[in-house]
Amino acid sequence: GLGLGLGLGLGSRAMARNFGELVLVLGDLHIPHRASGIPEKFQALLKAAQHVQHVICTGNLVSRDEYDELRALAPTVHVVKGDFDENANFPDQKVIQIGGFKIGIFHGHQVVPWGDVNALAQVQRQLDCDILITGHTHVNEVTEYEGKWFINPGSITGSYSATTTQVTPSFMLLAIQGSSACIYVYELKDDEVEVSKSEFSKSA
Amino acid sequence: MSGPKGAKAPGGVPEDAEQAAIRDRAFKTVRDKGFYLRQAADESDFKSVTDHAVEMLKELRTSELTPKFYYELYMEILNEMRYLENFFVAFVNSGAKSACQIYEDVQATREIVPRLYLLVTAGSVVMRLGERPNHEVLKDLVDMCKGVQHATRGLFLRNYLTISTRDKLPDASSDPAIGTVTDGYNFVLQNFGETNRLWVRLQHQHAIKSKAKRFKIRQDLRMLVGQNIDRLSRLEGVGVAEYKEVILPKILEHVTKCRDMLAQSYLMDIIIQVFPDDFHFATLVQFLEVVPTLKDRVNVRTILETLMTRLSAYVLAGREGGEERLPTDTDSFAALNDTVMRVIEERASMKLPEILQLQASLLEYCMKCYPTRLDYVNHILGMTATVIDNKLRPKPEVDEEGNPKEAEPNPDAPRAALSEDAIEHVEHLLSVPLDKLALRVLQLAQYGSLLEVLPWENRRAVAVSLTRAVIDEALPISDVEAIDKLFGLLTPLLRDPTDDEAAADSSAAMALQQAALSAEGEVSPDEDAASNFETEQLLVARIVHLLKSDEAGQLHAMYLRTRRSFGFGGVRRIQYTLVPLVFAELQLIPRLKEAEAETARLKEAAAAAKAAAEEPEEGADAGALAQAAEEAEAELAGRLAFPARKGFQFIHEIVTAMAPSYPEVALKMFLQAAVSADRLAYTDIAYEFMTQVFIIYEEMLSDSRAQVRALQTMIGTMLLCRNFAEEDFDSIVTNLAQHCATLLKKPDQCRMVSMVSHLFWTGQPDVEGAHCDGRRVLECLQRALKIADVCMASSMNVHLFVEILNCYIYYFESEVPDITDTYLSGLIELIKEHLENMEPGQARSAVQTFFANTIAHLKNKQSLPDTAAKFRNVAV
Repeated sequence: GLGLGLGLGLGSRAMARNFGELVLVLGDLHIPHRASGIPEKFQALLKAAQHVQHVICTGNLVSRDEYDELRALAPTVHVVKGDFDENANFPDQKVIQIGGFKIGIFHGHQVVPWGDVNALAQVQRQLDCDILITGHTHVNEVTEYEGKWFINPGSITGSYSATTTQVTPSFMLLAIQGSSACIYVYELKDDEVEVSKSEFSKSA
Repeated sequence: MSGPKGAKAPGGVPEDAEQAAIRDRAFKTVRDKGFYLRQAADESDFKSVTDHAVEMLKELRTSELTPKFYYELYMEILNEMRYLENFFVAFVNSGAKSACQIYEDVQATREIVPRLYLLVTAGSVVMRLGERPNHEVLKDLVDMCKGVQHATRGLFLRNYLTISTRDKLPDASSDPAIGTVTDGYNFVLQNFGETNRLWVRLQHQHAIKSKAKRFKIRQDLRMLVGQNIDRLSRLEGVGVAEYKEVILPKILEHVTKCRDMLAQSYLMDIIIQVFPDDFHFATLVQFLEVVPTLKDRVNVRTILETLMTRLSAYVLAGREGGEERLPTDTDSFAALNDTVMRVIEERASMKLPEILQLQASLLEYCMKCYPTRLDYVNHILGMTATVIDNKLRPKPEVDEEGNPKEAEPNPDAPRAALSEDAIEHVEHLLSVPLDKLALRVLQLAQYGSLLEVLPWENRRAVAVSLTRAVIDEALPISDVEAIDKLFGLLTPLLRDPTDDEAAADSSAAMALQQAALSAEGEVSPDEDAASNFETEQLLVARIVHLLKSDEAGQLHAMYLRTRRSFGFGGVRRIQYTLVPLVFAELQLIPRLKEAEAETARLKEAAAAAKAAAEEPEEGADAGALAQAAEEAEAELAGRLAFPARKGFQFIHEIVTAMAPSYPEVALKMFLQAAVSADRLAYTDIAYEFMTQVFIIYEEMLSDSRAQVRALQTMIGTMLLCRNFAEEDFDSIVTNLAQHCATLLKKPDQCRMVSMVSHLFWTGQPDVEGAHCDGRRVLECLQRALKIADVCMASSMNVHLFVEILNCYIYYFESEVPDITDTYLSGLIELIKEHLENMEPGQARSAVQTFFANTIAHLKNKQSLPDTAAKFRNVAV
């Protein structure tokens, strides 16, 4: 019941106490290019979110206003540059440490074939990270690969993609405690928020 | 006031210091007489008590004191009078005299002021003890008090009457013997009328020279009048009928008759304040009729605003509890609006900002009480525009005799400019309906007319609010007409002002000049202005996502219209506004394709139906067939059909227009269009888009980092395409490979050459449409290695080697036959050598980690049963 309970109380006090550091993972907003805004139901969740310490954004915000919105969500915001971002201050890639995890972040359009796990694995080995977070495909995914985790939060606005007929809006919440982590995937299906959960630990 | 302190102003009352001295002397008399009065009372010496009381009350006859000091004296005496009244009661109770007798006796007092105070006191006792019915006593008292006509003395006497009778007024629940509520309110009304007359008269008493000072004094005394109105509102027997029939008409009569600015302002306000709101609704027309007749200097705007604020709050509170409180028999909006119009027409002295403020308040009332009545809102806006027009139109010139020189006023004569105040109020007026109405503002024909009176920059501010409201509301915009209307209102966001428009607004002219200069690079653009501009354009861009239609053709027509409007925006705007339009159209094209097929089906069906109708088979119902044919024809005619190709044309046109100024964006858009065309199997179109991509790349991208970014996306995009003809695909890939190999910087060359290798292996040979040329893959990687080898200067080469090793591994895992374990082993050996020779430091440890992770991956593969055999010979 934890996963569903989270759907209502994203980042509640109890969660913060029980789950360690909370990290919001989202990206590919494409506002205003492909969407007018974040879906209302997601916005309500984000607004109610407390105790979230980090936001990780895979890029393609695209507007400056959205960056301000993200900064309102948590004390630290990590953004990498998407193929449609003009902001020269966003780095192409970033490696950060949260809890026991080294997390590598980049948008994903730089590695082909786009979204291919074996191709992404090359970058994971280069960045030497435990979790690799990318976007670009607008399809959310959590994949385990040789003891490492590849995460794609999808597009939080469910914005257009040439290769996907129907994009499901989605984002993720990472709860990191020491060397174990939970991933909650929030998806908007028929205007209802669905939450699913997976857990993993850092291999020794 | 001039004159030495303490001196008596000639013909007026003494100065403050002397006033205080007079007051203090009077205080002493009051205290002395009060002392004797109590002494006499202790001895039950009635005669002596009343004598002392008279002596004390004589002090109130003074004309020397201003109302402020008179009031202090009055309060001092009031204390004693309470004592006196209790004495009278005790005296009557002792059987010595009846209250009526006392009432008779005190009338013998010679001086009128003491006599009337004593009479009121005695009258109060008569009523307390019930010797005579209250209504009789009250009537007598209120008449008798007319005897004092001096304003100050009369006002305080009236106040004494009010206080003394406050608890004795017959009301609905009173014993009928003492009187009815009618007696109660008639008494108060009469006392109110007299009090008001005295209060007004104070303005005309010239004992106090300064008119302003008199005004101030009167203002301080206004409660003496107001408490009567307040008392009326507290009578429980006064229902809406009594209020409507008697009380309000009577009060309004005084309001009208007194012709006094302060009295009119105060009374109208206190009526609104003390009576319940449902009374106001029941008498709205009556009340409002008086408003335009009030004196010119009365601020009718605040009166109307107070009324509207109260009434709207009352209505809203009712709705919260599920109760509709708007009257059903009168249209409160019409009544208020008529009054406002009359006021504006009849008060020539009313300034435009004042009028606009009043109109805004009326609009707010309307939005709260009648949120669905767009006709009301429209009316207000239209009237406002007309009023402004009238006010700003130049007055016709007149000759010496005051006759207009020209028969017709010249309609083209220049208008006066709006004052800053007025501009602010018009802006406010236009923003009031936005929150609630948002997109429905488009239904207000007059919204635009009023908007047009504003200068360009203010129109722009309103346009921003409108856009925000429309986006927040998020209602779909679903026809071309709505788009035209909306964009009409948003004009100042959509394009620069023309010279004429800018000339009419100095700040717009400046903004324009600034933009022109910064475009030429002569000055750096004002950061705030640039940031505002961006915010505004991003807002406009979001409107595209509100355009919706169930019919694909209809939506395409809407996009066409939008594109036309955005086109006027110039280079600075299109970078924000056109990209969303391209994506919207890309999303629409599959629907256009479906609709195209559906139209084709309908055409066939219509043709079949027509054929059937023209040559009906035997026994068929010819009429029904003809009708079916007609219906089929009609359905076809009703469709707005745009073939999917038109959609791509639309995109082609937009992106081509953007390319010269924004080549990188245009390139990405063309790539998006190419994938979309390929996925829908319009390969010729996809190829054309790729051609455009190369044109931009070759002619417009000179920055090497931009080139790398472009090539990355080009390769990634080509990997998504499925339907290109073999030769087209090959020519594109060859072209791409050439560009990768000719990049300026070696590391870029190296990486992009290995990246482009993916296009030679898009799947196993058994996958349909897959391109698999392992030899070319191997060539790319070997070429990449050669390029890496010359990057020795920066010791970048080792890192590049490891990157390329990872590419080899990728293809090895992808079962590309030309990539064998021998290549892997050789490269690993090479890297190991180079690593040993590398300078210690951050660069080395980063490569080492990368390499170690790569080796770990290979070892992992060697250890897994599924892959052990394949990887066994890789020498790690």
